[in-house]
Amino acid sequence: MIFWILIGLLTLVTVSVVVIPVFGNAKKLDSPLEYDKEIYKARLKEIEQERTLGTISEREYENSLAEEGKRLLMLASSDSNNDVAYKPTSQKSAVLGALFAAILVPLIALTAYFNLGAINTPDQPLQARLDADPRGQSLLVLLQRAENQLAKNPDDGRGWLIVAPVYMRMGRVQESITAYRNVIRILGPTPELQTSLGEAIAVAANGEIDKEALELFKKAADADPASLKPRFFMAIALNQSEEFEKAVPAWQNLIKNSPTDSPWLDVARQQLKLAQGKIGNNIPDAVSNAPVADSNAPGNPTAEDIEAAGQLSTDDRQSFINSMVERLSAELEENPQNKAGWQRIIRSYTVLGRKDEALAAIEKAMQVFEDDKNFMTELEQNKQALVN
Amino acid sequence: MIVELGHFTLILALALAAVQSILPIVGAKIGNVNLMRSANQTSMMMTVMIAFSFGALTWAYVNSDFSVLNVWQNSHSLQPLLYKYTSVWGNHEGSLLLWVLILAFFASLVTVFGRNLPPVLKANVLGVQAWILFAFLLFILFTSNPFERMPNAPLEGKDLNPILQDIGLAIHPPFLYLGYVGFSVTFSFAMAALISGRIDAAWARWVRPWTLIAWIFLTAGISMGSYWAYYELGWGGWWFWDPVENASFMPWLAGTALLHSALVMEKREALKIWTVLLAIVTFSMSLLGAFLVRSGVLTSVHAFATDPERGLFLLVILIAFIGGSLTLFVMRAGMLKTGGLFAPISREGALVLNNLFLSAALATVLFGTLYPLLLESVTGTKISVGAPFFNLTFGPLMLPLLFAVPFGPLLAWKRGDLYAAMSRLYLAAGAALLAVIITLAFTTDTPILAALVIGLAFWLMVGAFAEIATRTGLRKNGISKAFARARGLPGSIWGTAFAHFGLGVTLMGIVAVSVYEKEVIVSMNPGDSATISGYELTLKSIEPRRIANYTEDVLTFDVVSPSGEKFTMAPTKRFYTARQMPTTESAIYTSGFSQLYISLGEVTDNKTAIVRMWWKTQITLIWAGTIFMIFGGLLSLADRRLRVGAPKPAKTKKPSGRQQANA
Repeated sequence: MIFWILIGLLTLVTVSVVVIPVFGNAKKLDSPLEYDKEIYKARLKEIEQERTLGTISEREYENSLAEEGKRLLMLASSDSNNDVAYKPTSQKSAVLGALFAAILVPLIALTAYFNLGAINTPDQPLQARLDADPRGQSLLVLLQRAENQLAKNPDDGRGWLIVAPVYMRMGRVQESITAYRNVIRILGPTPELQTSLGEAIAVAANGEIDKEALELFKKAADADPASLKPRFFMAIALNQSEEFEKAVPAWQNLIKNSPTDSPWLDVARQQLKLAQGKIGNNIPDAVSNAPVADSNAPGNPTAEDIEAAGQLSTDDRQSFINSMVERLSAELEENPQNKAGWQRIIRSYTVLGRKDEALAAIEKAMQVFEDDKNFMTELEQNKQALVN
Repeated sequence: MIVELGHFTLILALALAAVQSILPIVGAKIGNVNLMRSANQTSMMMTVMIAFSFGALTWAYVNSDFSVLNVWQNSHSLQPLLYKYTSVWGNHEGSLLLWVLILAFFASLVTVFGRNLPPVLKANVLGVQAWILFAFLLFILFTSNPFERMPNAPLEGKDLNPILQDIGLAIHPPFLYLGYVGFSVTFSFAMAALISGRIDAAWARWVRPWTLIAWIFLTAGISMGSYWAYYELGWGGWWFWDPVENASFMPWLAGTALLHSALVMEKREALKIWTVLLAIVTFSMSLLGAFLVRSGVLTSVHAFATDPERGLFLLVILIAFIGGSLTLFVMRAGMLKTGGLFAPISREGALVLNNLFLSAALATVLFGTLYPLLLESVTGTKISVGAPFFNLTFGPLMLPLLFAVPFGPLLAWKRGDLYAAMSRLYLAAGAALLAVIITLAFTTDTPILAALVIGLAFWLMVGAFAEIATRTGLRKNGISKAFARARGLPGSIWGTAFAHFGLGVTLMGIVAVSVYEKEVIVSMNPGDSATISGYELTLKSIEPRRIANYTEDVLTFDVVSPSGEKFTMAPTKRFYTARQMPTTESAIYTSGFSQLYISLGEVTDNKTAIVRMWWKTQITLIWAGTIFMIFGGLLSLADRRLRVGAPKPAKTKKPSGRQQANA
């Protein structure tokens, strides 16, 4: 409402500013020659000044005076416009002019605004949006608010703890890493935080578990002997570093201790198989297919522990693996000359049971590395393993 | 609401421009004083409205209102406050809003300071000014509306083009626009004269200061733009003959010619028709510049706004104004009275020479800029006309002109004495000769031509003050009396001297840097050293840093100068996250008039950097010269002669009118 009142007022003021002077009380004006004379006078004054200063000679002075006089005469004699342009005002044309303006201004202004304007769109300055009532706001706004809060108070550990997993889900892995690091710096390390940070670092590295991440998982595993998640990653790391001798028992233990509905069981079994295949050690399937461990047996995690680990994992596990694979695939699309990358993605697809994609990746890699004999043999072996 | 009100006031300004395009001109035609006078109120009101609109957009930028499309496209909430302001005009739409604001502001300056103008002239001038405003307001509102809104406002903007996030951008474009748009006033004056068929005595007196104002701003704008390109683009060059640079240089050449021909017209009533034509050409060049930069016909670092639909609209504006004004010129020029006669060897003659050379230079630049475009549109062949063409055509035209510069002010009006003028230039000739000899004797690798141009620079610098020496009678009267006289000399004489002196200074810088510049390109790891022109540079460290809306690698160099002085220089390679764009921030160390310039190429893994180093001999003289030119322009502008009263107070409507006119 206020907006429309203001629009109305603005239009009204504008129209009056245009219209009122048209009805002003104008007298007959001076002829243009009068204006020319003023300039003539000013020029004479300047010439006098220059003469007093001595910057022009006596002869130049006289010449200039004569020149100016001649110019004025020329203007006076040549002027045909004098009579036309300076008649007193005719009331009729003034009224017509005013009417013209009074109609044209609102007409143009309102039609154009109704066509171009974003009527009733309020201003949305960023700060006000962030300060507004959090209910009903999008996750993005809430995140932005939290970020602003953290920018002001970077030692707010709880704040970092809130944003860290959110970043992770949004795929903003680097920011998630920073956030987890901050949480650990401020609130101190816990096995869970260390695991999450390690996981984030691994995701950022396309699934490659580096020294720092491994260190974190080890610490987490040591601090909480019952935890499964860090052990899962440690086992992956062993596979990655091709320490299959150690990997096999690691996977076996993990599988043994996991509840039957653990989401990582499939992955773990496949990884175990892979490791076993590499060392040619055929441990009976009974182990990998072992039923639920007796949760009441001493030393085993309590039901609560498992539940907690499971909850943490369900979403994260899937998103972790998917984002890792997607990133890698995009990267290879862009830069196919990455042997290690191909090896890793083929392994991942195999592990995930995405057989067709694994085969497709092998085909692509074979095209790229045609000349690399050793690698071709390796790819061929992978392919055979899959087909069988 | 603020944004929408800003949008509405912009539309109101369009409505006002429509009214002002018609009423005052009709009033002048039928002799209705009130209709003529209405232009005063409408132009003031228009300025207020556009200023409000500009303020509203600025408010949206400063408060990161991303519901405004333009704000979202060109700013970022983490930008430093200064760049939130400069982002307003760091884009096509916003810069056009600034353009019309300046246009309206100049129109209101005409109303405020124009109380001594004959009413018909004033009404026509303001009417024509309103045509230009109307055209550009229409263009903004319908093709480049900065107030377009978005239904779902994002939370973060796309950031301003990183190369524009620099203090240079804060001042360079507004100055350039003040220059471009300043010439719209002289254009309006020319059109007014053609419409009424009469050139008042006030005409010449008004055109010159307006040309001066526009020229000062344009000079400053071009000079800053050149310096900005020099340090921000990291190529170490100060002028590239880029079409966009030419677009600003062409109005400058035409405006410089206009400045000189307006002088003849003011003093001697001669060259009237030519001056009117030049006034039209100068503003046409400004319009052409706007068209070239914004239509998208060019692709270069400046072409940050490109859109074919806009290009077409601009082309229509261009054709309407240039074609219309030239047609009117052809129809009406015959009605204008030609002025006094003069001998070839005279002040007028010298100024005509100046105009001839400047016009020819303008023609070559125009040709060099448009030819590739025409060729591409006709045959589809893409060629680029670069420095070699301009050096071969523009250069030879400038040298004789520059040689003639010191003579001009020494020749008398009407009929001059060349020998007398020459005799006053002995000192300058001596200085020039000495400079050539010293250059050839003390340097080993200077081409003869370069040495001669250095002589020419000295000829200009010393010769520029010959008129003052003569006028004050330095030789006859001795220093103390000459000094007293010098203080009394009109500002325009000092202005001429400084502007011409500045020309010499700039020329000196250009030759020196072209001939003596040194360049070294090396790949460096921390700990490596390189040497250039006696400066020993050691790369101390490469450190990543994160700042607001960008991250950067900072390279710290320990530098030891030839004289043993130690200091550090830190060029950086930035990466703007929102736009995913890298930029190079060069490091510059100034010693005397010369500069040591470091710019970075690729930086890999915080370990190895490609480093480009230049020793830029006397390069700052290029811009120092323009400062002298601007200072000269200001002196000339401050000349008290502009103050002319309106006719007798008894006859004017209000007594206050006269007081203000004389204030």
